Formats: sequence, structure tokens, C-alpha cells
Amino acid sequence: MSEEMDQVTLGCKVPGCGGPKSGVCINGLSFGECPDVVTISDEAEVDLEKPTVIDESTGNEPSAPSGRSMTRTADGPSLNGASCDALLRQRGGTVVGIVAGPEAGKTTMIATIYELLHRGRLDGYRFGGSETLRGYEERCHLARVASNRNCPDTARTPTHAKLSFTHLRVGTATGITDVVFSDRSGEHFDNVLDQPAQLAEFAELVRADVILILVELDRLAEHAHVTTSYTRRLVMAMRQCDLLQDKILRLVGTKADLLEGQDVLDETTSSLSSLAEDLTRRAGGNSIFKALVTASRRRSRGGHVVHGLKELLDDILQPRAQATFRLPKLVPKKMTEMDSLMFPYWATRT
Amino acid sequence: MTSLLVAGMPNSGKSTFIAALRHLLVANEVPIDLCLAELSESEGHLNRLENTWLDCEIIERTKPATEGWVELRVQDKNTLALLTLRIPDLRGEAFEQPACIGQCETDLFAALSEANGILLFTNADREDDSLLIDDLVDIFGSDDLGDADGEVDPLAAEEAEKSFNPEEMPEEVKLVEFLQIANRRPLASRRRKIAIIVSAWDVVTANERNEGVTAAQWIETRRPMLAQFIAANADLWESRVYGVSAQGGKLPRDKTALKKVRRPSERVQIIGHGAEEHDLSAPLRWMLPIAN
Repeated sequence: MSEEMDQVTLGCKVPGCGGPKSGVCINGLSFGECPDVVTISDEAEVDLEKPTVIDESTGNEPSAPSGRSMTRTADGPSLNGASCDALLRQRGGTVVGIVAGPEAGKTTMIATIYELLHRGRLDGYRFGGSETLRGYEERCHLARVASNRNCPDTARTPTHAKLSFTHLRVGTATGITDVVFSDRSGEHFDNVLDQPAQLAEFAELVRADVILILVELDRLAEHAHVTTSYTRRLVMAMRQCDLLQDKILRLVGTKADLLEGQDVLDETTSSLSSLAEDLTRRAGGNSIFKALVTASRRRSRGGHVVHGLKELLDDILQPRAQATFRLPKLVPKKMTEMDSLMFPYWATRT
Repeated sequence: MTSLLVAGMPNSGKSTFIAALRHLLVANEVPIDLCLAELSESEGHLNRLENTWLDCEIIERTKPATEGWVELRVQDKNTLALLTLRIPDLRGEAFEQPACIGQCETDLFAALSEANGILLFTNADREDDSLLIDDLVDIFGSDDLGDADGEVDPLAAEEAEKSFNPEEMPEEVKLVEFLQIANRRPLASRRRKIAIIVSAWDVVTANERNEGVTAAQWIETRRPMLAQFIAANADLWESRVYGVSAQGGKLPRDKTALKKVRRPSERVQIIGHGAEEHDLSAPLRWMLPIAN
């Protein structure tokens, strides 16, 4: 068998080294000399690419294929429901639930906020960290020169993707605060409109402090009735599932950069404001929707610039009343002596 | 024993710094705060590094086979306090793993947990690795990125497109994630000292536009994510920024000139926080308990 053929079935045990597959040895040795080169099956090769995970049942730390002991340092590129919950219990923070149909610009908006923040381009805010750096980087990749693209893009959140969250730690004038943004496929919102009661199972909206309902401005300009009806139905479903109470609600117009001309922009902005007023009126004044126009992309030199995201962050991070949480007043049917002693304490606490 | 961690991505100048520092401590030929009190039990790794540095050869990237835990037994010249510094000289890939695969080599993780201070390296002599396409449009105009009409052939664009590879994430992202794990559960958060070392500082000073720029100012504009992260978390990181040219020039271009320097220690340049011109031990001394 030739060396070339051999290398097809060879892999490298060292994480991060492409080995014979990439043609570059991290040890700078020939593949015949390198002790980390192993013969692997295709199946095993795929496994090498996967991050090793601690065995939850035993708590054992994973071992790198090379035999180096590894310690897990993060739960994954983005947060799932459980890890987001754990983070919020540990640090607190603002949960932003994003409601939008397919290709409404959810991921682009989240990614652009991250890009502006860590580059120091959001006045009054500074980057304080993130538990989902890799998740953000994946979302930003197609807008970077490193992607080899000529124009920026954002990968669509696939329909099969589960609900995930990205996290930002933001430095403000008053200290550091944590924000998590929900990210779920737009198709989920399309589908739930057929069975609106199922919206109650959208955990991020139940937990959200802020709900952003995204409306594509270019679609609003071209198909005003369809877009307005879709948004109304989404809001009605949320109201029926009691998801709007005590939340900051924003109707966020996205893709303002796609509108050609100031007149069209003004007209569409006016339509968005009218829709926000309409939604507020329909909610009986209990929930106030405020319209906000954003552009997360620049189209050309001297053309539209990214805007609205600083104002959006201002709204998200505005001081708000702490949610009140009351312990239910439960008293054991048969009180023990200890219960009797504790009763005055419970009474004051509840 | 005092543990310091030398951290940085591949080619960020960690090993060159260690090599030059070793020479300065042994030679004791320029004013520095620390000197070598005695040799440790295992000096092979340091000897090889120092010899390469003295020969004005490029110090090769650290590989698994050449990684080493360096021990330096030093004495503070002011207080005469004796200290043993344990510094890992690890390949840069080890520091990328937390950001790339969400894991860290257990030895390194333990060292990070125990470290009294961190020397964090970033190389000034590298291209911007997080440039946005929009920023490129600002520089060249959209027409220059597409065809004559500014349009892009979708098929050609698709062929050229590179999919996301975590190992190619920007350096700052990897550095920030590495620092984040120091205060993430299961580790308990605590305040640490961090000396950010801008290596290849001679490249910065060689550019006329950077005249009078301090290392701290350079970091704020060229590594904004890292600078903001450190500033926003000042309760966890007490920081200083130094500009360092441990090699003294660019190799192999400047090899002949560097060979002619009578006292090799004078090849070394450091700026920031009142450090003597050649005193690479200044950031170390600041991080040691004796400095307080």
C-alpha cells in the first residue's frame, strides 16, 4: 500500500491536529515518525472531531484520544434550556425572548449586537464576557472576511435546531449585567400559529423579561397586510397564553437597510408604529408595544449604516422593577413541634 | 512555590520571552529586578531555549514533544527574597482548546487554577483575524469585492466560501474564553494579577503612526475585546500591559544585526509601568508576593 493510501486510514490522536487528513503534523514530524498517528476507521475518525463529554452518570472526566486527561470547561457553543437556567440562577440577568418567522433577521440581530459590543462600537456599553463565545462566532462567521465571502450573510437557524440561547455580559455605567437571547427556528413560530395554545410551551417566552417581536421592514413595505396579520396572530396567541404580562415589549423592524429611499423608510416606519399602537390597543392597554427600527447590515460604502441596535440594548437593559415572587402559604395538616416553631417564620415570609 | 502561567496562542512569543528571560537572569548584565539564585534540577528545556535565542535563531513553535514545565529559582534584588517560579511552556494549541472544544488539558486547568499571576501574550505582528466584510467594503468599496457591477457570482462565492472552523476563531475570542474559565465553576472566582504582554513590540514602534503609543493604548484599539473584558471585570483581574521585544528584531531579517549586539541582554526591550529598558522580569516581579 502506498504512503498516500495509508494516510487515508490514518488519523491523529491529538485534539486540534488535522494529522494525515490535513497533511500537517502538529509535532512537525513525518507521519511515519509521529507517535500520535493511529490507524482509524472512518467511524472513529468522525468521533475524534466530537468534543468529549463528561459521563454525567459517573462524573468521570473525559480523556483525550492522545491519553491526555481533559477537563470540561463549557457546556457547548450555545446554552440549552437547562444550562441557561443554571446560569440565570447563578448570576441573574435579563432574558430576551425573540419572536419571529423564518428569515426575519433574528440571528443577524443577535450576532451584530455581539460584533458591535466587542469591537467597542456601542456607546455606553462594553464587552464583559460571554458564556457562548463559540456560538456567537459561528453565527458571525459568514459576515467575516475569514469566510471568504464577498458579502456578509448569516447562516439560517435550521428547523430541526432546538431552542438555544446566547449570552452576553455587558458593562454599563452602573456595573455588569447579564443578558441571554433566545434563538429558535422561525419555522417553529410559523407552525405554532396553527395550534396557538402550544405557544405556552415556548419556555423562553414564559421566562422572558423582554419580548422582541421582529417584523421584516422590506416585507412590511411590500406585503403589508400579510405581515401585519401574521404579527397580530402571533401577539394574540401570546396574549391568550398569558405571555405578555409585566414584560417589556418591542416591535422591532429589521432590515431597514433593504428599503430603497428615505420615503419608503419613512412610510414603513410609520406603518410599524401604527402596528405597535394597534397591538397596544388590542391588548387593552395592559401591554405596551413600542416600535423600533433597526438595520444590522450595511449595504454599501456611504449607504445605510447599522443602526437601532444601541437603542434596542438601551431598552433591553432599562432599569425595571424586580419581579415579585411569593411563596405559597402552605401549612402542614398535622403540625409537628418543629412546624409549630417555624410557623411564625413562615407567616412573616409569606 | 509561586506559580505563574504563561498563556497565549500559537506564535504569540511565549517561548521567546522565556528564553530571553532565562538569559537575563543568568547573565545579570543589565539592570533587572530579579536574578537567578540557583539552577533547578531540570534545566534541559531552558538550556535549549536560551541557546536558540543566543544564536538568533527563530524559536520553533512549541510542540507536544518539546513542551516543558520550567522552574526558575530567583532572588529579588531589593528584598533578597528567594522564590521558585513554576512556569509552563506549553504549545499554544493547549490554550485554544477551551474556546474550540470546550475542554482544557487537566494539567493546564490545574495550573490556571493555582496560578498567582498570568502572563498573557498577544503578538503585535499579525494580521487582523476578525475583520468584517462590511469593514472591507469601507476600505475598498463594494465594487472591488464583486465584479464590475458590484455583483457577486453566487456559484463562485459558494465555491470560495470557507465553513466555520473553531480553530480559526479570532485570537481574542480564544484568550477571553481561556481567562473566563479561571473564574467559571467548578473553580471559585478570585482576583488575579494579569500582565498582558504585547510581543513583537518593535513592529509597533517601527511604524511612525504609532509614535508615542503606549502598550495599554495599543491594546485598547487593536485588541478591544480583550481590553474591554479586562476593564469590565476589574474586580477579577488586576492588569498591566507591557510592550515587549524579546528577540530584539525580526528574524531572519535582523539576524546579522542582532548577532553583533555585544551584550545579548541589550537586544531585549520592554516598556510599561516604569520597567527598566531591558528588564523582562518587571512584570513577573509585579505579580510576585514580594512586590506587595
